Amino acid sequence: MFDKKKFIFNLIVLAFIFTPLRISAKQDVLQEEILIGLIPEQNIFKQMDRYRPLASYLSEKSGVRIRLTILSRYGDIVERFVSRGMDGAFFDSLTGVMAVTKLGVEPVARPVNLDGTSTVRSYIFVRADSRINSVSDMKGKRIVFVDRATATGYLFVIAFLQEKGISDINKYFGEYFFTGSHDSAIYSVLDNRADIGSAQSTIFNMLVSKDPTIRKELHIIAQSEEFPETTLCLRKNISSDIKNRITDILLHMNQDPAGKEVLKKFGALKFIRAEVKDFNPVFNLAKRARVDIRGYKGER
Amino acid sequence: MKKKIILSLFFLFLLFTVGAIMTMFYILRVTSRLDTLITLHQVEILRQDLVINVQTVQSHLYTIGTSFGKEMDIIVENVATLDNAIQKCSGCHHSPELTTKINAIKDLTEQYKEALSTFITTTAGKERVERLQLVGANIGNVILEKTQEMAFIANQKLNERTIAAIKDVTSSRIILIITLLLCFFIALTIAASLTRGITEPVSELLKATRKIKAGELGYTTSYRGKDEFKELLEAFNDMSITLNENNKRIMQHLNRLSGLYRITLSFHAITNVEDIYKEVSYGIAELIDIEQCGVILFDKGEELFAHRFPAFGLQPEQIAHIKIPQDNFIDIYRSSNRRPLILNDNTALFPLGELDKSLNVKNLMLIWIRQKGELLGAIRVANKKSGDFTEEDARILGILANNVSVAFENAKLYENLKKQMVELKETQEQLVQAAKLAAIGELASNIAHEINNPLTSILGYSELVKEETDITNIMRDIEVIEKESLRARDIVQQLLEFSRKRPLEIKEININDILSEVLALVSIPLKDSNINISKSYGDIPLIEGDPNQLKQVFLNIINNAIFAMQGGGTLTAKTRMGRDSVYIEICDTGKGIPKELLQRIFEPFFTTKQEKGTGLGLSISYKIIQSHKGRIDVESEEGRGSKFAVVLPVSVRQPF
Amino acid sequence: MLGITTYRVQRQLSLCLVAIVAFLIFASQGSATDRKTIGVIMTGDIPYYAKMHRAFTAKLSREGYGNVEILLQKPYPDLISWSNAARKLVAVDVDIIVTYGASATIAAINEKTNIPVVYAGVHHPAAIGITGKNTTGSVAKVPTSSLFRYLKGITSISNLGVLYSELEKDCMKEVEELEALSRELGFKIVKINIKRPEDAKKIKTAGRLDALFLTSSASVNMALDPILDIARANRLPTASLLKGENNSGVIVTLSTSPEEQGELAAEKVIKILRGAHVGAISSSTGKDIELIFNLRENMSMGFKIPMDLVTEATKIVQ
Repeated sequence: MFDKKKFIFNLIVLAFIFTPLRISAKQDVLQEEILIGLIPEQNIFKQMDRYRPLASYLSEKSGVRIRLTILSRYGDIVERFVSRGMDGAFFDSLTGVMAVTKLGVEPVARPVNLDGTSTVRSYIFVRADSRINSVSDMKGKRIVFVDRATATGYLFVIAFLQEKGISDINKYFGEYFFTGSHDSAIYSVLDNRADIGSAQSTIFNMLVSKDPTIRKELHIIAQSEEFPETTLCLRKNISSDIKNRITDILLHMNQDPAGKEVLKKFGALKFIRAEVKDFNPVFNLAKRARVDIRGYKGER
Repeated sequence: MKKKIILSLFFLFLLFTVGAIMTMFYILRVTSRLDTLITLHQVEILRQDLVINVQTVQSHLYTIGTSFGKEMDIIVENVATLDNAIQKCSGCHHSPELTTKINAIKDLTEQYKEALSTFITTTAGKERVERLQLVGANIGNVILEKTQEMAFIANQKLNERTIAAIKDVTSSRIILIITLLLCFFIALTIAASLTRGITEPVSELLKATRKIKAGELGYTTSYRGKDEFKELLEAFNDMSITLNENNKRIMQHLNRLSGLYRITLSFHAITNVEDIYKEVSYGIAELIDIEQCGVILFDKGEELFAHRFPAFGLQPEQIAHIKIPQDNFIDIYRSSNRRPLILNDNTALFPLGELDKSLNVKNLMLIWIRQKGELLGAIRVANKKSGDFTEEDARILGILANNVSVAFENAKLYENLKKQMVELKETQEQLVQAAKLAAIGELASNIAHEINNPLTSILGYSELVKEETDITNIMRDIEVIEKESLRARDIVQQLLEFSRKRPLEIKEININDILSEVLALVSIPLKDSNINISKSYGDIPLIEGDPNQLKQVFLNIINNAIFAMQGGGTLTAKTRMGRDSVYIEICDTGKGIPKELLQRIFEPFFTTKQEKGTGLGLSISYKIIQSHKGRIDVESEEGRGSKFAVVLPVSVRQPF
Repeated sequence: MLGITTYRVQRQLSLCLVAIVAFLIFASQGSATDRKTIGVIMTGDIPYYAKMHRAFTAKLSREGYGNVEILLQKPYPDLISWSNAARKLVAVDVDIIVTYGASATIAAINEKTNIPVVYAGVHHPAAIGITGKNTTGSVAKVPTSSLFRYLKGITSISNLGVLYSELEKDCMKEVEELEALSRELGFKIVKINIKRPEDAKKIKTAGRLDALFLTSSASVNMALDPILDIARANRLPTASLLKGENNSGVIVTLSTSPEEQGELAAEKVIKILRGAHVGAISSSTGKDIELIFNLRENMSMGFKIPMDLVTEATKIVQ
């Protein structure tokens, strides 16, 4: 009576009839294409969802098709930037510095958070009931880092300790380990699985906003200067036309209703111009931490 | 019928509407089932998508970080597709049970994404990474399991619904077929009944029409329906009956008219009044069903109106009494305003009083006969068998009365004509005789001459006899005398013969002989006038005719020729056979007839001979030849001569 | 259930009698041979303490004190039982009293003897008055708030069932902490006092609950099986501050390692045996915090899998 196969066949035929039209229509409009990398800050799917509207807005406005790609590990971003043939990426402060140094990428713009900031800090924290108040209290304790390739989750702590005369963490701490993520570092301290932790201020504040008790449970014993927030950098030899177009669109999208909508979805007020000098605090930090960015791979 | 048709159509409409509604209902039901099936199939596709996506992601999950590992973007894309697949699933309507399951899968997918993301981004701790991989895989497996479970439910439902749909389709089909068949047969029945309802009376009508056409007027149908056709057929029956009655009336009328015509026609041939009486009374009796009929006519001698005989239904002794004084009769005539008098019931008013009672009259009609405004009399009809006398009877008899009047006139005229004809015949005979005598007169000298010659011979031979002694000579002389005497006798006899007044005597005659006889009669004048005779007789048959009269004609013509050739000339007599006539041509070489006179030569008393002629010769000749159905042609040229050609038919069947 | 419990109690009582008889026999001989005797009070019959005790004895053996006599008291978790157990050990005059759990420690301290008391598995010793020159031990401090945070990740909580025993001071402290959290985060706490395993039935009549929080109470942990049965039946996620058996069925456990606690206690005992004065030995805190996630149970009950928990967990039960 009802021919299932036939029906499915018809559906497929219909699908074939309609799909080529749509594809060809799209191809006609977009000729250029650039690939932008994203650093996994949190959930990569959520991050993709967050960046997709921005990418399509940019594509539509600039006429350049923008593709996004996620990078799985913090450390290998510079390496992968080259191997994947990326044209640009949203770098965090340390990877940004590394990319600027090693690849010569050019900072273009960075978002201003809803709270008006466009920078991050690093926090060093302990449980409030831990009775750790100074570096000396930390001796023999368990310390947790995020990743060597983070300024906020590692480099600042190293610089901080260096300045306090501690150059070998292996000797000074009872235990140290990397969590790979800022929130994990925070949870480790909260659970009392570690005594000292460091993490990026934005993540710390986000967790606090979700669970205010955290703020009471943790005690921030040190915080860094401001580092630039996630910054879009483009490779140096990209056509200036594309670069200018993209920069222009990003910097003015808060004046465009559609752009505003995209910004709202992205969770930013606007984009501001970014420059290499914005990374100066990070360069300084590296110096303080006695780390040579040029040779630094961020490996554990 | 109209009501029936409307009701039938309404019923059919209802039936088809019900059928259509049922069809719609079943189609909708089946299609909605099919829609559900399609949706379920689509769901099946979605689920398969979901399974494939999860499996793909699962495979990525296990190969990530290895040399077989896919690029992160592909995984992200796959997860996005997976996400879409599950979003599509949850976008549909489902039972609460299924919705719960789908929501569970949706939640699981979210967790799966989180697990994958965490797994992918986690860099610290091999054990932890492995654990995250495992957790992700576990969630993936749960999704697969749940999806399979859903698929199982969906398949079960699909099966159930497919079976239900098939059942529905089958039952729909059966119901539709039954509905259609039912509709068809009911429609057929209705159509048949309607058709029968129409054709039956129509064929009945047709049959009746044919019957009527065939002359069976008054034929009525026996249709028993109770519809408009009944009215129609009743009307038709009425029409048929009326037609029949009318036809009967027309036929009656025609009969009367033809009777009338026949009677009136006979009037024209009737010259005898008694015959008229008879024709009128018996003819009327044929036209109208009556017991008595006759004609009352004015008797000039007695100055009263008397019933004439023969009359229909009346004996001479019965009508002998019917004699009404002129004044009385005219009074009745006037009192009826000169219109036919019809008395159907009031016997007291019978104009003929007690007499009619003796005639046992029940009803009576008098039709006045008038001539040139004068009352001649009346046609009396009495005792109509089939009811009363009508105006129509009066009208027909009125026509008849007029004709009767004419017939009487004709009869009178005929009487007069007959009398005149007799007189004319007598006059004509006298004229012919006179002409004959005139001709004899003319011949007298000739005859005298003719006779003189034999007489001279006789006298001479008588003298000789006296002197002769020889008997032989005497005998020879006597023979001559005898011969001459016979010759003289013949001449006289001929003359007598000619002059004798005799009726037309048609017999077979030889024209050549007759012509010879005439020429013999005129041989002396011809000789005297120095006229040569040229004779040329053709081979002609015997013809029918009166020899004496024809002799008279030829004699007249030859006499005229001789008169025309006083200074001598040639007379040519010629006979020949035409196509069916005999031509007798007599030509002279005389002075001829002037053209202006040529047309008048056959007029009576026209003559160019002054006192010598009667002026009747050619005129009578003309009449004689006319009576022989022949003609006389004349050609003449002044100074050259004339040619008279008598043409006579071979056979004269009915000579005048 | 009641039958089993009765049986268990009877078995415990008989074991106690056997132990007393054995002790009386060996005590007369012990003094002659100068063999050290350690009395151990382990509340009830719960895996956490059992593991602790195994680690304790193992450590002693490893450190060459395998011949030390151990008198194990396993009182039922009520005040009289604890008191009796402590009294018996004092009466026998053991060299050191080792106590597992706060209630046992308090019972030993309340005997006011000179016998050193080494405790283990006590969460808040200072807060509940476990101090004194004669006392040292290892603290099993676990942040209640963290456990609650993970529990929240499994399901959203507006009514939290807190299982405790009013007889046990340590767990009362945890209840207090939870109450503070509830005030701060705006959820409701339904306290369910579990003195006996059959009290687990109270969960069913406690009104609407979103999750069960098992404090470190020995009574609660002894009633673990009926509690978990009810939790499963009512699809309630469970969190426990006391590590049980791996396959116990508690979904999330944040607990100090019982082995570490046992070993820490053993270290202190050894020090005393070696002649150190108990007052000179400072108490220590367990650093080995175990975050155990029973993924299997979680998945079979169809709860959300919180990735934080999966990531942070030190152990996943598959």
